[in-house]
Amino acid sequence: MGRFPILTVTIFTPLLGALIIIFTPKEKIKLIKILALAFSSISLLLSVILLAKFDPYQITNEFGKFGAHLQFVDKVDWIRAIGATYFVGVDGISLPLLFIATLLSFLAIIASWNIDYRAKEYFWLILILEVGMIGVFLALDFILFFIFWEMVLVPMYFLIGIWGGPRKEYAAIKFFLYTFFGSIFLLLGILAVYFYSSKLGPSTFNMVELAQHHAPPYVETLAFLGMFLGFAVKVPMVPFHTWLPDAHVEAPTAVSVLLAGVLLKMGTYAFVRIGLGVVDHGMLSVIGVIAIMGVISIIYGAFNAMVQKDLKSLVAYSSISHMGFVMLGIATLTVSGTNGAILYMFSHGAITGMLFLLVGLVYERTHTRIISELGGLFTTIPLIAGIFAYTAFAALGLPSLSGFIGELLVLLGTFLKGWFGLGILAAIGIIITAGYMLWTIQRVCMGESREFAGVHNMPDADWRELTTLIPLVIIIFAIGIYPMFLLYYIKPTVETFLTKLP
Amino acid sequence: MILSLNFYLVLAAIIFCVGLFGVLTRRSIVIIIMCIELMFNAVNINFVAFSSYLGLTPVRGQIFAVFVMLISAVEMGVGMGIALLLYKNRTTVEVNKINLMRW
Repeated sequence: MGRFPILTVTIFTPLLGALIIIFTPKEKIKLIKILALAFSSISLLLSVILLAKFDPYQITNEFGKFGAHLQFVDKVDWIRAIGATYFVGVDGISLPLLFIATLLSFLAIIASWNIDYRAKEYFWLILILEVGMIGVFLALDFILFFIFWEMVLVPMYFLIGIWGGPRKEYAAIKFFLYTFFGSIFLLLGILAVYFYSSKLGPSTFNMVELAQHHAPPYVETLAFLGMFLGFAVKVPMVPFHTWLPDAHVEAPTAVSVLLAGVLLKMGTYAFVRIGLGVVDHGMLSVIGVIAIMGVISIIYGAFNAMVQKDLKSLVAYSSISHMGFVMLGIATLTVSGTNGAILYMFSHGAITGMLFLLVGLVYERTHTRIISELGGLFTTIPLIAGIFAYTAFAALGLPSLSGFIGELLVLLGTFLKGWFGLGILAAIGIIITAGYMLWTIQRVCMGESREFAGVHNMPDADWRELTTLIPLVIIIFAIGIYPMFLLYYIKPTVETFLTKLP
Repeated sequence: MILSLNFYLVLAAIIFCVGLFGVLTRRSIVIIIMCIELMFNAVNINFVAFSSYLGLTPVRGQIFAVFVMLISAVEMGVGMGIALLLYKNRTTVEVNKINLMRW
């Protein structure tokens, strides 16, 4: 292969970094942190280069309609005996998510600069987590996809369980068992599709080939139901969401950022890539249920967020609500709905990542996350509180910030499909989101500052913390003003992808 | 009488269940590792029985049984190493007492 295997290098550089960190002595904490930052920045640089060199209009016929826009493909025969290939490629759907994954990993490592307790383990766990996250968005072979899907679980368990809050062990084991349980059904679905692919040649795990040959309808529906469970736990969709508040509240700041900013997107991305791509007949038979569950997530998440006392769990429930929007957008099967869903995935990664970073900053200064104990942050830490207000506006979908574009496109898709009831309910969800977000800003930032620990000499954000926030601020504003920055990549791929559906 | 495939499958299932029961109820980590090994062996019986009775070529079941044996050997090595270090650090091998990550 004459071309530089840029995707393989992007996936495995953090792994190399993790190995090097494992071999550095654990006293050299500064060196470990610099190494982690260096390797994560290499991945970020490569993903920016991919953004620059990706041509969204280039179509190839090698991979059928499923992979018409795949570029920078690395394809090598891996385990020929079972038909597994090492197949990675990027197209318009995975490219924004790849960028947000590498960016949030980089910012999370900067945000974790103060971790000194067992720093070595922390940083190589985060790097392995990054490998898993990037790999999921790039993998195009089911075995590879499943390996990367599971690769995020173990580092997450340790990251939450060792560096987390008061109930960390409970949250860690709940997250692990819940997500693992879903993944078992995902594996069953993958195996079902694999075994039924042997009708035309050797059975294969390659998604491109599986997308072109369909199993009998009942098999595909059952396989999709298994995969649905695996993806729905990750998204999370409402009956399967109960791991999220615990995991988010107890996780340390940077881990929460990665959990909300990237891991949730893995579930919705899998719905698009595998649900609409490979087992589309199966998904189409239950698409109405998915849309209804999405709207239930919106309303239920928003109402739950309204009554939370802990700031971090409020943000966690708002994540559930926003992911309901993404699922609704995917279920509309229209170009604008899917465009909006993918754009909303990207912008929600930035927005919720920023929200968790800010909550972490506030917690470091005030040592409390309970909303009734906070107040008057505009007077004491104006910079952090100002950015917090900005992010809350972005979360509730203020026009000119990126949340609005995503919600608009999803609602457009819903109404184009004729689902007026669901569209109205989703819009009511936006109103409820606005309600609790504005109320939170009022309670936390405005008013008089309460007597909490250290209120009189709280330092505002220093330049290191601002470095984690400013890129996201700029991105949210830029996408909100000119969404074509992102839609330039997404739109052609989504248009071709959706023509494949019956 | 002529043994059919079912006998081997039932045997493997019984051994697997014995191993599973051992993992869930025994207190010593060394015994737990031994019961995990029992489960591996039950799976091996399954593989070899299927390959022998279905007669496919290449003999996938037996090849995979070799894989499983290899992996179980490596895992036993690592597991016993962990058990050794655990004993050195905590002077106990009872899993009830090794509960730092319990909630």
